[in-house]
Amino acid sequence: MTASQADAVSLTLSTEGGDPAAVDIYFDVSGSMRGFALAAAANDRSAAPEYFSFLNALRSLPTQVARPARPGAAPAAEATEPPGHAATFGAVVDAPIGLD
Amino acid sequence: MWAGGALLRGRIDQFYADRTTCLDRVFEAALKGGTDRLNVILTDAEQNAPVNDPSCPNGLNPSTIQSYLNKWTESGGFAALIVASIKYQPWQSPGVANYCACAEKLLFIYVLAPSPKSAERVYAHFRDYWQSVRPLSYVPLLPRPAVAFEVRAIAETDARDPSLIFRDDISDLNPRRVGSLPRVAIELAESDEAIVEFRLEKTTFQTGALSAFQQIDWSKARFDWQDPMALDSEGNVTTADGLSLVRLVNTEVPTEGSNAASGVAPGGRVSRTLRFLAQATESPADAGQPQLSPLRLRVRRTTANGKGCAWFLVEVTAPVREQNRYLLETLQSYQSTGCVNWNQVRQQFDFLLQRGPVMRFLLHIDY
Repeated sequence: MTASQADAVSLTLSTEGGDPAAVDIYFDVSGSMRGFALAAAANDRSAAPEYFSFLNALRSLPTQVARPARPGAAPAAEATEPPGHAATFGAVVDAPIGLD
Repeated sequence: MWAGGALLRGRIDQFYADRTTCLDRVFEAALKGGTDRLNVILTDAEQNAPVNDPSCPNGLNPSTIQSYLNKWTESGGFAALIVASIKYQPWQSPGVANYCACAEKLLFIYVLAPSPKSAERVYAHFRDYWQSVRPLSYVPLLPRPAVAFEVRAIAETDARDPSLIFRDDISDLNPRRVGSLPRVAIELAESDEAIVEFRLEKTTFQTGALSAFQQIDWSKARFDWQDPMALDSEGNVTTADGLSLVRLVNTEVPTEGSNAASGVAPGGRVSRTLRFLAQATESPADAGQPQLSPLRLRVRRTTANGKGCAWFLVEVTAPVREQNRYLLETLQSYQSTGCVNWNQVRQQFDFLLQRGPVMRFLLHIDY
C-alpha cells in the first residue's frame, strides 16, 4: 500500500465510520399499523401529537443526519444532504418513493 | 377514535391492508443496499410474521432479524434500536383489530447505519422532533467505540544491536484527519524475531447526551485484544494463509522482576504513542485502570530469505452481553402489559448482543 492508500484504509476501517451515502426509510404498512396511521391522520391532533409529529420527523431525517450531532457545531465543509428514499412494507417491500 | 373524512379513512384502510409483516424482506433490502447507506425501519412488530404464514414464505424464525443485524454489523455497519412507547388509545378505531390490550404500545425503529455517529444522529433527530413521546430509548446493539484513545507501542530491543526498529517514515501515529486510524510501522532488523507490546493508556468513551442508557459506561467494559487481522493489498481484512512471510504470535506479558521483564532488552525499551481522535472536541483521558492486559506479540520471520512487508488491523473489543439485563429491565419498564413477547426480545438480545470493536489501529511490519 502506498501512503495515500494507507490513509484511505485508515478511514475505511475506522470505528468512527463515514457519513451515509443515502438514507432509506422503510415504513410498516401492515394491518397492525393501521391504527397508527389513523391516529397520525386524525383531525384530533391534541389527542395524540406524537403520531403526526413522527411523520414530520421522518420527512426531515435525511437533512438532519447530514448535520453534526452536536448542537451549535459548524457543519463540515464537505457535508451534503444524502438522498432520501422511502419504501413501505408488509408482506412485500414496495418500490421506493420520494420522501415528499 | 377516527375524526377525519370518509375518503381519507378509506384510503388508509386500503393502504394498510397487509395482514402480515415480513421483516425479513425489509432487512434483505437493507442489506442489499450496502453498509454505506443509512436504513431506518419503522415497525410495531417486535418479531416477524406468524409461523407458516402463507403470505410470508420465510415465516417466523426467532433468529431471522437477529441474523440480519449480525450480518450488517459483521459487514462493518453499526446497528441500533430506537424504542418508543406511545399511547395506544388513539391507535384504536372502529374496524381496527385490537392488537394490544394495554395503555401503551411499543414502536420499534431499527437503525442500520454505516457508523455509530449516523445512528446517534437519527436518535437525536427523533428525540428532538418527537418530544411528546417519552420514554424514547436508544439501544445500541454494538458497543459505542472509543471517541479517543492512546496506545503505547513498546519495542523490546537492544540499542546496540536492535532486533526491531520503528519506521517513523511510514507510521502515522497521530493522524491529523479526525476519525482516521493511527498506524505504527516496525521493521524486523537483522533478527528473525522480535517482541513488540501494546499498552492501552488513555481512553474516552461517550457516555452522555445521546444515550438513553447513560448508566452504561463502556470504559468499564471488559476489553479484549483480538488476534491481529491481516490486510490484503487493498486494505481488506483477509484470512488467506501465506499472505506474508511474517507471523504474529501472542505471548504472555512477563511479570515484574522476571528475566524476560528485566533482562531481555539490555538496551532498554523504545516506544511510540498512537493517538486516535474521532471527534475534534474530544481528547483521550487517563484510562485509570483499564481492564486490559498489554498485547505482547512475538513477530517472527517464517523464512530466512524472504523480504517484504505486511499490514495488520489490531482491534480491541468489548462485550455487550453484560448490559443485557439492564437494557431488558429498562425496556420492560415501559409497559406492564403483555403487548410484547419478552421471551422473544430476550432471545434477540442474547443472540445479537455479543462483542464489538471499540478501538482499532493499523500495524505495518517490514521484514
